[in-house]
Amino acid sequence: MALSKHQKRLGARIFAGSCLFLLYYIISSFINMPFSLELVILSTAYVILGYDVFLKAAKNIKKKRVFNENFLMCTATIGAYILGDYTEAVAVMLFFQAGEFFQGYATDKSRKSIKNLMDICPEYANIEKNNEIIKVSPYEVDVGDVITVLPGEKVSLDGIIEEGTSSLNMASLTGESVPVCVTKGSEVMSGSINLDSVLKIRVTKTFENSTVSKILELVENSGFNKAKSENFITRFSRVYTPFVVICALLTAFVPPLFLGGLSIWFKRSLVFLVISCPCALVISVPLSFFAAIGCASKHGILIKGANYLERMSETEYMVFDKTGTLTEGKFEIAKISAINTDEKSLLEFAAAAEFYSNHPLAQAIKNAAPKIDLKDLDSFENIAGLGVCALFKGKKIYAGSARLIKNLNLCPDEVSMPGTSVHIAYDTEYLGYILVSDTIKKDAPQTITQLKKMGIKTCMLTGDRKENAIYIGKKLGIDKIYHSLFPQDKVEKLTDIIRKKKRKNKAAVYVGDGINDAPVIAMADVGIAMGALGSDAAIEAADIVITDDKLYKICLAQKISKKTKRIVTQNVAFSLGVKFAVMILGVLGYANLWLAVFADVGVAFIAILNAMRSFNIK
Amino acid sequence: MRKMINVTGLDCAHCASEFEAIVKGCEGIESASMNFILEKMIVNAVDEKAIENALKKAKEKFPDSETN
Repeated sequence: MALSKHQKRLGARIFAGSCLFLLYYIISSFINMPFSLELVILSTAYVILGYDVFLKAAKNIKKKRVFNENFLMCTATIGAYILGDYTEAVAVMLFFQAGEFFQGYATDKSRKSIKNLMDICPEYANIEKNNEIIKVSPYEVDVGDVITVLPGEKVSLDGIIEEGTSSLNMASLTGESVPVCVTKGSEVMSGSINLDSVLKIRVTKTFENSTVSKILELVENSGFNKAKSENFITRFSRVYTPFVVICALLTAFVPPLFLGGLSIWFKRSLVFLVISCPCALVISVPLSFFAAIGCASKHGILIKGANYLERMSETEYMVFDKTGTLTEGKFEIAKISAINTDEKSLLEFAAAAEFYSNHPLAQAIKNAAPKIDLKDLDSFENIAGLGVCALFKGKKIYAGSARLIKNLNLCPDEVSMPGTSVHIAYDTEYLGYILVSDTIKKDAPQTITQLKKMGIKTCMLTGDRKENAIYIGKKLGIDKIYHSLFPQDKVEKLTDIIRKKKRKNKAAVYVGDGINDAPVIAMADVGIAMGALGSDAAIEAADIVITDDKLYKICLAQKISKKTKRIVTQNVAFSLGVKFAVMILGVLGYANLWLAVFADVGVAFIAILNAMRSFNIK
Repeated sequence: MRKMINVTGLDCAHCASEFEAIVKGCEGIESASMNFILEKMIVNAVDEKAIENALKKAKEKFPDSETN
């Protein structure tokens, strides 16, 4: 990895200083080192290693910033010099600078990896002008324009394919590298990579509103929602440094009053100065979360902030929406039960009633039914939570749940098979029902099993009827099933679940498709919207957006959050533990200066390496 | 108003949090959040002038820092 100029120079200085240091030890093992030679070799090493620390310390003193590591390091090493411990002074400076070097390297590396994530951003779009293809900035393309995407290029804007058949690599958006086949009429998202052949795409959203811009904005902004651990460490570090300096002063001056031996205690107090900077600790915490968020976004899990990631690790309840989340949301006709009419007519009536409805149920019916003559169809009304109503061939036709039929004072049939039944009533007569069933997502069973293994309680909220809800819930092994809920009931039920939590800091997580459960998503401690890149409302309301509909990503998100929390706790405990141990050893006289610095830098090294592990969770 | 500012030249994360604290404490600043790794800061303030003053004050203590 390329190093900056400053880094290279620092590296060279560390190398030079170490060589001189080593030289000193080699020479002194052969001959009795004369004092002047010792002073010259070590002082040269000292100056090479530490001159910028002195300059920075001087600048900071002018600005009245006393409690910074540069000043404290200078004080500690000058103190060592005064006591005649030249080797210690050089060693302290050496390890300190090595620590700085490594810290800079780690920060740069994580910055670069995040910038690589941002690399999904398309830089240009191809537009056809005067029979020529010219490159323009994606910002200049309007809705309705047609862009051309050659094989190997990134699709630069969201749109619908006008011409061409190809396959797309969606890995940068969803983390899935299985190519997706697309053809005329398919919707495509910006950021995907075109693989086989030329595509002409009619743009549906401007670049600012495109999928790739939304993702980049989410990732960029995620760094500003801080986790509780981060805030704690920041507040702690502001108190820590003054505390340690005070300990140093006390150690230097109080014991000598009673026990004498000023120089011994003075030396021991220097140990405090050397471990007084909590910088590595302060950077390793945000680094872990940042790396984790980056890792998650590689898999198409977009987390809006470290606080949500942290909260997820404390999940007690995981609440799922049924249709479209646990199930595919694609319906197929399972049974047609007609009374007072034949099956074909029932289908026709149903299709007529559902003609203007966007519900997936309606889609299944319309697909199976004969074509409706629009002249016969008039007015359309959506009756919230119950069904639809339209005017067909002059008479009212109703399609919906059994409750809808009962509200019309008619008697719907009992449906015992699992599935969603669409009952039809036409002109005051009940005509029967069409049973439509949805398939459970292939990865749903393992997802629920995994979650339960993690000790998470699972719940399902659905507007669907009891038999259906229980059938699917039992099949998946969900702990608590709540069915027949109106949209506002879902919010209430979630509120109940939240109240039942064992402790306030535990989390109730809700997973939905975001289309009509935005209020529930917003209410949850952590709201997850799946396959939600199309819906702005869902992205607004959700705390975590999963770009496709693969349920196993929920388990992955849980894994990432738990592992990251563990890494952060390890780092904090380890760093603080070692620092306090060194302080105690220092007071008792068992730790000399460079052991202290070595421990400090070593701990920082380990903490930062540990933090970067968060980037590779699979 | 909300503004995202690039902040470079801060030595360590500790300094970054001090920088953020100075900005937060300035008049007219509703909130400020520094992302040391991305070298960016988000500030919510009553107006542009408040942000300018806050940045000036913070840069006084950290002369090597740059904002844009």
